[in-house]
Formats: sequence, structure tokens, C-alpha cells
Amino acid sequence: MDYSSTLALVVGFGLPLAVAFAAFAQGRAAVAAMEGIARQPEAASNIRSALILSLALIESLVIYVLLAFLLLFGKLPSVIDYLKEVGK
Amino acid sequence: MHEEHGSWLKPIADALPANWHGFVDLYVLNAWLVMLVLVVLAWLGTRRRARVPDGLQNAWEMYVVFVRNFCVEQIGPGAEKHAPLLGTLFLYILFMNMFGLVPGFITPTMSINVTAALALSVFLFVQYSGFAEQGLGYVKHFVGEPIVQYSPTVGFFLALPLVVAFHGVLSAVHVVGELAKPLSLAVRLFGNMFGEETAIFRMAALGALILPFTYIPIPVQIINVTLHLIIGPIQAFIFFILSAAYIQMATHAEGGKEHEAHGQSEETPEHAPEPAEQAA
Repeated sequence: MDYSSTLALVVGFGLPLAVAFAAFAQGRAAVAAMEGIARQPEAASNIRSALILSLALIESLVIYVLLAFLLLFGKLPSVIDYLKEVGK
Repeated sequence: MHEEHGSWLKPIADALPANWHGFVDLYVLNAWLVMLVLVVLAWLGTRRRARVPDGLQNAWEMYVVFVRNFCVEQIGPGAEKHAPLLGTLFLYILFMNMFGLVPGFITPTMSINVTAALALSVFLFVQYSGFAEQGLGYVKHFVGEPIVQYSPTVGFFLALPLVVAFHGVLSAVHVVGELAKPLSLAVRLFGNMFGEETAIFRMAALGALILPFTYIPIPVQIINVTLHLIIGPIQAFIFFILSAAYIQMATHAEGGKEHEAHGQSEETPEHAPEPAEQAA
């Protein structure tokens, strides 16, 4: 496999993988928050603030991967350039 | 991206001298405009200092009280001196994030220059308050607690090079961790705002693209705009909370909430024998 196709695969798979793990982690945080609210409804606003904070911190990890994606995206060759490369 | 983002300030940005373009570009100009808006709002709110606040002065007082209570709760007692910086940061970033939704203006936090400047100011302030609070003992944060006590034996002097190497590696790790904190602040805010605004632009372009098929223009970007209305204030609040947490880690060797835990654990052994004596 040459460089361009490997780069395209990595750029394509990096962000969805990060999003999948982050969705799993955020789901676990949401489940814990909902169980806490169900157990003690009077602490709902405290739990809600802690939930929003945790969700945003997990989301920021995905944003770092998005940044790497944006940096790599400019390095992908266009179709015509890639066909010229392969043609050689 | 080859498109340039236009705004009503773009003629001013183009009229600047050419060697300023690396320092003062469109995003910095919009940031200055947000600063101007905030200064005007602050001046309007504090003109007549009535004893019973009303209107804009009431809103400002509510905000100041909220910031002070949050700082004292998070950083510990005596944190009022950190409240001006943190309160200004929160309101400034909030206004900047929402500024892009006003027609004709752009979000200054979309550019890594603006968010890196904010994170750098927080970093410098955290280091300054660490040194101001603990003097030169602040360096202990980076070096770590000493792992051996001094004792004039041969074993101590034989182990000394290993201890020095250990503390050297540990301080490198701590310095990198300390530098990673403002980097994460900058990248988190930049990534969120840039991603959101890019999504809004692309969805607006999509709405323009399907115009030949539906004769009325459909604003498909309204979903992304609603998401931006939620995420903008949340990211400003996250920046605020994390800056307060970094200040708390730098100025208190143990932390405000942890002091309470230590206090309670020290009190319970004193209380425990008393009921036993009363029972006996």
C-alpha cells in the first residue's frame, strides 16, 4: 500500500473511532447522572452541572482528534494528482 | 479552505499595512469590537450607582456575585483577587462565541491566535499566582515531594544520584503536564468554535445548493445554529471552570475542598474517645 492510500485510510478512520469511544464514555456518564437524579431529585441541579462538565471534557478529546483531522486533510492529494502518481 | 470569511470589518482589515497582517487580522479586529461592546456595557451599568440596583446594574451585580461565590467555593478562602480575571474571561469568551451569530460579524475564537492568547494569559497568571502565594516553594510543585529524608549515612550518599535522577525525570514530566494545560484550553475552545462555525457555513452552502430544486430558500443551518447557541456558553463556562481549577492547584498545596477533608479526619480521632469515656 502506498503512502496516499494509507493516509486516506487513516484520515477516514481516525475521527469515527474517536467519536465511537467518546459516545460510549458519554453514555456511561449520562447513565450515572440519571441514576443519581432518580435516586435524589433534590440534587438534580448539582448533578446536571457535573454532567455537563463531564460531557464537555470528554467531547474536547474528540475535538483534539478533529484538529488532527483538519491538519491532515490538507495533505490528501486530489484524484487527478493521485492517478498521475499511480500512473508512474 | 480557500474561501475568506467576510464581515463588515473586512475593509478595515484590508486597509491595514501589509506587515501587520500576521498580527492584526480580521479575527483580532472582531475581538477588539467585542471588547468595545463590553466596555460600553460596563460603563452603562455603573453610571448611576444606586443603592438598590435596577436594570443593567442589577444584572452586573448578579454576575459579580456569581463569579465571586464560584471562585471562593472552588479556589478557597481569599480567592476574591482572582475573580476579576476569571469573570472577565468568562464574559469575554461568552460574548466572542456568540458574536458570530450576529449577521455581518465573525467569531474571533474561530482562530487559534485568539484562543492561544487567552490560554497564554491564563497560564502566565497561574504561574504568577503560584509564585505570589507560595514564594519559591512553588517549585516544589514541579519537583515533587522528596522521597528520602536526609541522614548522614553512607547509604544515603550512595542513593543520592538515583534520587536526583528520579526527581529530574519527574520534574520533566510535571513541566510537560503543566504546559499541556493551557494548550488543551486553547485547542478545546478553538476546535469547538471552528468546527461549529464551519458546520454552519457548510450547511448554509448546502441550503444554497438545493435552491434550484426548492424554489424557496430553506435555512438548513438552523440546526447547527441552535447547537452553537448551546455549545458557545458551555465552552466559555468550561474555560472558566478549568482556569479556576488550575489556579486552585497552583496556589494551594492541598486545595480548598481537601483541607476540609483533612480537618475532619483530624477531628474524628479526638471525638472518638469522648463517647467511649462517657459510656464507661
